[in-house]
Amino acid sequence: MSDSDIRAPQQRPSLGEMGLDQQAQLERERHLLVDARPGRELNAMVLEPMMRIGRAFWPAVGVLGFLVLTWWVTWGFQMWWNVGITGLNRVVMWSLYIANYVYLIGIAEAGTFIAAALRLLDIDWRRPISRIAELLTVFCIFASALFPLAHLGRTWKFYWLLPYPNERQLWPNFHSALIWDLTATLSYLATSTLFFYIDLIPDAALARDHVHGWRRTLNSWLALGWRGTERQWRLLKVAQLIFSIGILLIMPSVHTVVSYDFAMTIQPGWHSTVFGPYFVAGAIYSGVAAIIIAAILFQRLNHWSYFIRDEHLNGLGIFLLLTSLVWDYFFFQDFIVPWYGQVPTEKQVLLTMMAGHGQLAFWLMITANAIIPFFTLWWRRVRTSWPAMLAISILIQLGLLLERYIIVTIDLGVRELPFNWGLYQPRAAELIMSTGAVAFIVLGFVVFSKLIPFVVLYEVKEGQFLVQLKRIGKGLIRSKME
Amino acid sequence: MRGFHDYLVLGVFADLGRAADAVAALRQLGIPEERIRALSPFPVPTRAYPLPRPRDRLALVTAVGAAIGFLLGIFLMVGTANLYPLDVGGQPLVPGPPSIVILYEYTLLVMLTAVFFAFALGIRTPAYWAQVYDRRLSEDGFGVLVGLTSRELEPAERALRASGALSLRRLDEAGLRPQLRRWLGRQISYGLWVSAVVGGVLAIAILCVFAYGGLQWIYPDQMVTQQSVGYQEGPRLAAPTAAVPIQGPVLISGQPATEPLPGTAASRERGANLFRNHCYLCHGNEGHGNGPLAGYYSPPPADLAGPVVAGLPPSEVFRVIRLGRGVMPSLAESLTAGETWDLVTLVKSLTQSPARTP
Repeated sequence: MSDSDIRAPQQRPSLGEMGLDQQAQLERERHLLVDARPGRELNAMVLEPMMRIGRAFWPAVGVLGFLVLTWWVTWGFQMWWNVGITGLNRVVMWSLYIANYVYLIGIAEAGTFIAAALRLLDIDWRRPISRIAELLTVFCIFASALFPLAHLGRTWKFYWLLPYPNERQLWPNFHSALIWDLTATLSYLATSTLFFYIDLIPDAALARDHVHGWRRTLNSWLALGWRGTERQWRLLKVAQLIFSIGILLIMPSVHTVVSYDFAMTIQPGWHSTVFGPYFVAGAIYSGVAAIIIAAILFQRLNHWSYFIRDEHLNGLGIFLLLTSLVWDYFFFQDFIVPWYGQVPTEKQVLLTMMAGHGQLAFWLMITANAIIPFFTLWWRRVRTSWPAMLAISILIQLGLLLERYIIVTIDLGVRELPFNWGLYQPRAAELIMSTGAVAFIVLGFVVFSKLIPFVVLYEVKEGQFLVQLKRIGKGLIRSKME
Repeated sequence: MRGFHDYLVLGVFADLGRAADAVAALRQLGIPEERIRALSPFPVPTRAYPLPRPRDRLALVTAVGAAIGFLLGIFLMVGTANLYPLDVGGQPLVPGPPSIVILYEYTLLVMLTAVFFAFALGIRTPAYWAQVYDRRLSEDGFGVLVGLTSRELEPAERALRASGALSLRRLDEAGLRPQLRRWLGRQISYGLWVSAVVGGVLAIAILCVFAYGGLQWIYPDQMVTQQSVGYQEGPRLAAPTAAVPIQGPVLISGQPATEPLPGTAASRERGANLFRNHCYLCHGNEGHGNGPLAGYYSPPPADLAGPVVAGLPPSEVFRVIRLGRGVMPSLAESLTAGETWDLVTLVKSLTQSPARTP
């Protein structure tokens, strides 16, 4: 059976006319969960890329590490010379740092959202990709949390924000949206890391049993003595359930609180009640696109076409289309009300975005976020083609970074009184730190992919145990035990 | 593993059905269910084994954790506000709706953290006893682990073999002791290293946080190293004689800031454009100090066509635009030096008086 048989269903004989063998083979090619293989083989498929250090590994670590190093050096340089080396000015006092913060924490939103929501809904295509999604959350939220610290200027005084009993008996002002922001970000960092770790434990035990050397030591620490007794599995399931619900409660609150940083001001363009859901929609949108990028890269680089198949890209693609439409809706909401109201300052913000110095970024954003996904993702052929999905997802990343850039720097340049308008242009410091942050996330994936198993194998095995082909009449039908 | 036993025996089976049969056979031998564990490489439906459904208290932990988190939030919102009362612009000391955000985040944070630790304790971590284990249990194997007295040992092993065990592993007291000693030694050495590193970091952190004044940490702080002059202190600082201004004009009273532009019609035209953006809202179309916002200010904006402004030299008009005066803000960020001179040309032309050289 060739590839074209799968891609073009209309030219194939109908399933009923095929023999049972043929049907079974077709089902196995399409669906991971009916394509069961022995556990030993599955383990090897996951552990072999983990143990192998390819030719490209050290050059990649070198380049990415250099970029990360430039990030830290630039940050140190900025601490010494203060934020004057950035493009900040009195009017536009939030810069690309804050745009990066919002953007990266947005990607972080979707990682655990995918893992948690799809687990609660029991959607089967989540099984091989949830580890990638959860790890994306951890790295992105860590990188994003560093940007407000860089923005502080006097970074070394950041602990003044933390509520702890200190010698002067001072406490942070909990009325401030910025303290909410810190609380929410740190809560999310802590809980999503724990969520990732709970899911990792059985797979770390698997790596402990089947690899040698220091990776065995590392994974046996991570595994916490896991043996897989029925009591342990039960606790794992319940903890995952509670964490999934908890994460689903905390996840929207984080980006809503981030949006409060903007919406609680009276800045034109920011003072909007729709900002909370609008930010959450954008966050999930960018996160799903980022997961698609990561999943495709893992599929290509680790030769994981067994684990990550067309059905997974298709499911993620449908999800991406859905989040794209939700984003379009909220964007339109955020746009139409000020436009219809024609309050001069609000109108000026929109005009600056659409026809002023923000127009290139604005129209690029609309194209990348609304137009291209809408006119491509309806077709299964696009959703299952990895080059197309990779290109669309990268475009969406660009579009959503531009969206945050527009909201932060271009909105902020338009104040109530025209003498108080300002222009912002990022300088070298911001650009170096931004690329450094992206490099940090990629480096995290490159390094961690050699430390821990990157497929949630016990969930794949569980799915393969539960899903079976059942013969009914002339057809083979997938059925799932509950 | 609870209950009295001398031996631990682990049987490994090729599939779930055989392992379940083995558990049933062991139960028939009269071995109590709390001494039997079923091990599997992935979660299987618990009712496959003739064992009671394992109990857990995670729901209770969730509730308690959420309550503690909520109380922590209350302490931070209400308690700390009263410990160090801070008047924020007439707001109540403990605002209502904004408290919800903090309470929500802390409730969830402590709740999930508590669930995590309960989970880690519940899976018996760290494992303080010797374990019988087989690597095949994370591949395809299904295991049955049973604690046996010496009387039960032989029939139980026979039953496990009869159910199709691929292999049996036995751990008795003789094997347990050296294994335990080795394991304990390793735990202690790891523990020492980990606690040394963690303790060192914590000690430094505590020192930094609580002894900020005493430690005299050398932070990069240019506020300390730069030359400074207090309020109403002399002598007034001037730029050193050799200084070359690089970021705009040096503004010292009585000296021209930059070369004034010639007051041509083109300059006046540019000035008029800038005036509409930067000046009109307060000073009005004709510069009479009657713009749309003029009523909000006391004293009202200056009449640019009036005698006061007419009496000012152009350099002084330049200074006022650059630096602001009274309620008028500085426009230094919005205008280049050349644009400011264009505005000076315009303002001077409003009074119809010929521009004098400063």
